Amino acid sequence: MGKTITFTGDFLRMKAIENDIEQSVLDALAQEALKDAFHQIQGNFNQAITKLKSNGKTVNWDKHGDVKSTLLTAPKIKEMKGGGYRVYVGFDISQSLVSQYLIYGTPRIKPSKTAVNAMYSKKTNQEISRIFEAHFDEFLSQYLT
Amino acid sequence: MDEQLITLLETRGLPCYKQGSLTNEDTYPLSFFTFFLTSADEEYYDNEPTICKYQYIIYYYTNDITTLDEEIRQTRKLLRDNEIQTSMPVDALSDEDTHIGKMFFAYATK
Repeated sequence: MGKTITFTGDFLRMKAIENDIEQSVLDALAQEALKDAFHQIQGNFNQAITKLKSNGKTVNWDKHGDVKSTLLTAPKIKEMKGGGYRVYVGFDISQSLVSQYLIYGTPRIKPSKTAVNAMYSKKTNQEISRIFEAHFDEFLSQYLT
Repeated sequence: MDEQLITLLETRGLPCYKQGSLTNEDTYPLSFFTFFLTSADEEYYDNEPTICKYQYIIYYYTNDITTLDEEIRQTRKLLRDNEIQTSMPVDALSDEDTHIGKMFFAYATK
C-alpha cells in the first residue's frame, strides 16, 4: 500500500493549448516532475519508517524479515488511460503484506500516524505541488523571454 | 465530524470503532466498521475558519465473505448520498483468521 501521485491528462492538454507547446514536450516534463516528486516523498517516507511505532512500541525491523527492503527505490511511471501519468510511492505490496498493517493498522493495532502523515498530510501535498510548480515555471519561463 | 461519520455508519446496523481500539481480550463482532482520521485541513478567510477538509480511512471487517462487497457498495453509496466522496476499496488486514476486511478513503468537506 502507498500513495499514487498523478498528473492528469486534462491539465497537460490545457497547458499545451494555453502555451502553444507540443503535447509530447509537456508529457516529458510531467514525467520528470513525477520522478522528482517520487524521490522527495519516498525519501520522507523512508525516514518516517525508521521511527515507526506499532501500539506505542518502536518497530523492531529485525522481527519483520526483509520488509524494509521492499521499500520502493526507483520510480515506475505509468501512463494513464486518457492521458496523464502516475507514480506509486511506498512499499512494494507484491513483496510484503506486513507493510500494510504497520501503516494502516488492524482493529487491534493503531495505524502509524508518522507513516500516514508522510504520505497523506497537507504538508506532503504542498510539497508535491511545489515540485510540480517549480518544474513548470522553470520550463515556461523560457517562452516568456 | 467523527460523530457524524459514526452516526452515518451505524445506520447500517453495525458497530463502529476507532481503528486499533480493540484490545487483545475483545472478541471481534461478526461484522463491524472501524475508521481512522488521516488529515483535517482548515482553510481561512478574514481570520475565520471557513471550511475544513477531512480525509478518513474506513475499514469494514466481516466473517461472511458473501456480504463483503455488497456492504462496501451500500456503505459507499450511503456516504456519497451524504456528500462524502470515497475511493475504490482495497483489502485490509485482520488480526483474526475468521474475519476479512476491505478499506477505502473517504473525503468530506465541512
